[in-house]
Amino acid sequence: MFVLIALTAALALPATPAPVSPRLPTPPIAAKPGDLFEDVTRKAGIGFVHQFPHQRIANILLSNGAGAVVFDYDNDGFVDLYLLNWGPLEGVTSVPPGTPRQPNRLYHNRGDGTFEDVTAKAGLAGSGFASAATAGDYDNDGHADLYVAGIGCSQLFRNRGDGTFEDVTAKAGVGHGGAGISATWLDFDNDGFLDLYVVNYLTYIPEKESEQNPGAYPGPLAYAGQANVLYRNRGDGTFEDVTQAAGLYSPGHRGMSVSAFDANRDGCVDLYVSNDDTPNQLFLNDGKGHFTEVATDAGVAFNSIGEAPGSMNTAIADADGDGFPDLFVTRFGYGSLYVRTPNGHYDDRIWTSGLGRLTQRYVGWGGEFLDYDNDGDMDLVVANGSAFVLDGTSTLLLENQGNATFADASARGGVFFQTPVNGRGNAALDFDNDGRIDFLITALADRPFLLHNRVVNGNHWLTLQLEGTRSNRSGYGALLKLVAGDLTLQSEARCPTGFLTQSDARPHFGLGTRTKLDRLEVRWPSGRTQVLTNLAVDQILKVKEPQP
Amino acid sequence: MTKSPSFRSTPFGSDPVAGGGDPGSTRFNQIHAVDFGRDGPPGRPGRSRTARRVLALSFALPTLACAIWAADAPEKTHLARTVTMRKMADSLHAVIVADQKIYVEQVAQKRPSAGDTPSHAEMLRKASQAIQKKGAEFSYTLRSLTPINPNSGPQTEGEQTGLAFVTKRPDEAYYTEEELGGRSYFTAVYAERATLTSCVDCHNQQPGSPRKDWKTGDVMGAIVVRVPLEF
Repeated sequence: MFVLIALTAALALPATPAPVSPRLPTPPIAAKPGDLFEDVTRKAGIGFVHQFPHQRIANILLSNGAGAVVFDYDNDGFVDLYLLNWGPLEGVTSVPPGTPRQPNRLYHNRGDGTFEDVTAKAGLAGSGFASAATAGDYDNDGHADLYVAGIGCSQLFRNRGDGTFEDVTAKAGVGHGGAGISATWLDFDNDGFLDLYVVNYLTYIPEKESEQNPGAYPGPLAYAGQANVLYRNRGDGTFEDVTQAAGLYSPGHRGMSVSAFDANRDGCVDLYVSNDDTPNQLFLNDGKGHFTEVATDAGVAFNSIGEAPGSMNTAIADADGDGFPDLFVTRFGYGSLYVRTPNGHYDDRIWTSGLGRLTQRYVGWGGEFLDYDNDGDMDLVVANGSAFVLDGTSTLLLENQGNATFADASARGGVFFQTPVNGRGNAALDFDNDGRIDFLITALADRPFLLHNRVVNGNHWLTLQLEGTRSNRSGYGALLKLVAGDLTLQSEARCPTGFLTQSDARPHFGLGTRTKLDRLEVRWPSGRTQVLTNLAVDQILKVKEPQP
Repeated sequence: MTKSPSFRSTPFGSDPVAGGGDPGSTRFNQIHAVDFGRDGPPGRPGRSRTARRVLALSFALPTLACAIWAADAPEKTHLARTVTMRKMADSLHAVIVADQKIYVEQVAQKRPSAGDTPSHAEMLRKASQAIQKKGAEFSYTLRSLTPINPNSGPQTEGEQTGLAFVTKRPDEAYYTEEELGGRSYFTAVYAERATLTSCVDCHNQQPGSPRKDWKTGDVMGAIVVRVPLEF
């Protein structure tokens, strides 16, 4: 009788939900008064926790993490956050049967420093084992759409413009079943419609074991790499796979992330792919629909010690102020700062920049350029973490000295930078539109970290919000040149994807003490050049491409 | 210690029962015994061919069984099962310098003025990159404290220290462990001497060369071999 009562009582109790993660989420990190950055995640109302359906990092797919996208889905002028999640995946995860997948989360920015979870209303819970996502207005209707890349399941969500999204994957023809890990929007043929490049990782086989280290899981070379895919937008809501025709079919690599940018400033967007344990690839676009891989000749395939270790992410910005884009690559292994030289080749200055010494202890994942102090040069935040254990490591704030040499500013950055975090994705954004760049880090088996920029130095800034007309509506691919007195800055409106994440797509310029903008030149992907003069500083400037 | 399946299937695997001879040669001896029977031993003349064959088989089958048993028997206990990082690096270095020497002597020196003949440094770099493209678990590169190309200068603290070491003590290698981007490496640095007058002449004549008084036998740089200690 006692047993029966006990059993009845037990059944009457609510079932204890399976833990989302084998570790407790990091509690809020209290900033000290002088800290440059403050963890405001909880204060902002972001309760997301990355679902980690295992007790440990038991295989290579579990080492990578899930990311986030920064985009303004409702056009209210404040960027919103979309955070991706994993779920049970046969052969990869290990959780009790029936463990539900936790949803991706869309957080609407209220504009007052707080966010509200609108996932259910938006229809963006997603499915599967999501890795990364990218936002772009592929149908030019004025509302940013979403492509989510995941392992075995990727999805395209069309933004209806009313706060809801519809899954149009099948209709659009972009449901590639590979191990999706990164994606980016780009208009490679400059026809005014955004195309889509999807990076696939490797073909995972659960039975593989490490030959060298019986206690460790096998590395990427133990598995066959998967080819990446370029989808051309037909302009009618459907896409076609043009990978082969575009010269982009390149099997044998294990891609981790992709950065679309105009490497040679010829008006045609190029692609740089970060690969795991094989050389990185730079595909130059000839403007006629064809790409050529030139990474070895250009000097961006290997690191400075002649090795091709696991590359996670490539951040793009003009690090040395010469007007050309440079590349910062994070790796499990020696990273790279590829600085473009006048002859079009790149020098890896990881050692002479000081970054080699500053980053040598850490496995770098999401590295992102941002001018956090608005002094006109591009600094770095690097999310670090272990590939083997769930314990965290420090995040780095690295201050550009103005000449592509860097100093460690982590101590001034604040308590967050001394807090162990198993960082993965890293996105730069200005969520409160105050002109000071904040950042968001996603972490493995943990909550994300939204870091609010508290720098007070009186420096000025300009942020642009572009709208293409003949060009793609997102303005991706527009080349920008800004002159403010003695300061000239060049940049590009890109789809700013990195490892697992997409940053705030609004181009941002730190202006230092300059109080007037003499000239802004926008070279649109359509070929039209627009010039604006005598502009005020400290504003978010909307720039619409002139109609023909 | 148990044998791995791969050793069992290898004809040249170890054979402790036979006292160190390889099982391949043991089997070879047994086949000779069969042949001996076919020719007929002394004192047994007149036996039919069929009878000799039966007799031969009756010897051969048990002998073959013994050979198979011997192949499955416990193996030697003193065989090497691992290669040390130092030995691996030394071996890689030996291959690199041998290839380099032959390339310089057989190709570069014979076509010194040919514009399409890469220098030995370019050859080394291209070979290293070709290996990396296949997904290698080691890497190597050429370094110098006085490089013609600035990118060939030391790129890590380990390289800096190793180059200084082998410059002073060129007959010794410098070994260390490094952590680069959170990944641990075994790093070995080997002196690279100017062995031929063509090396000296080339470096002394290069417009960008920071040093132009090289002599044969000088340590011009080093070959750095790295083996990652994590995948």
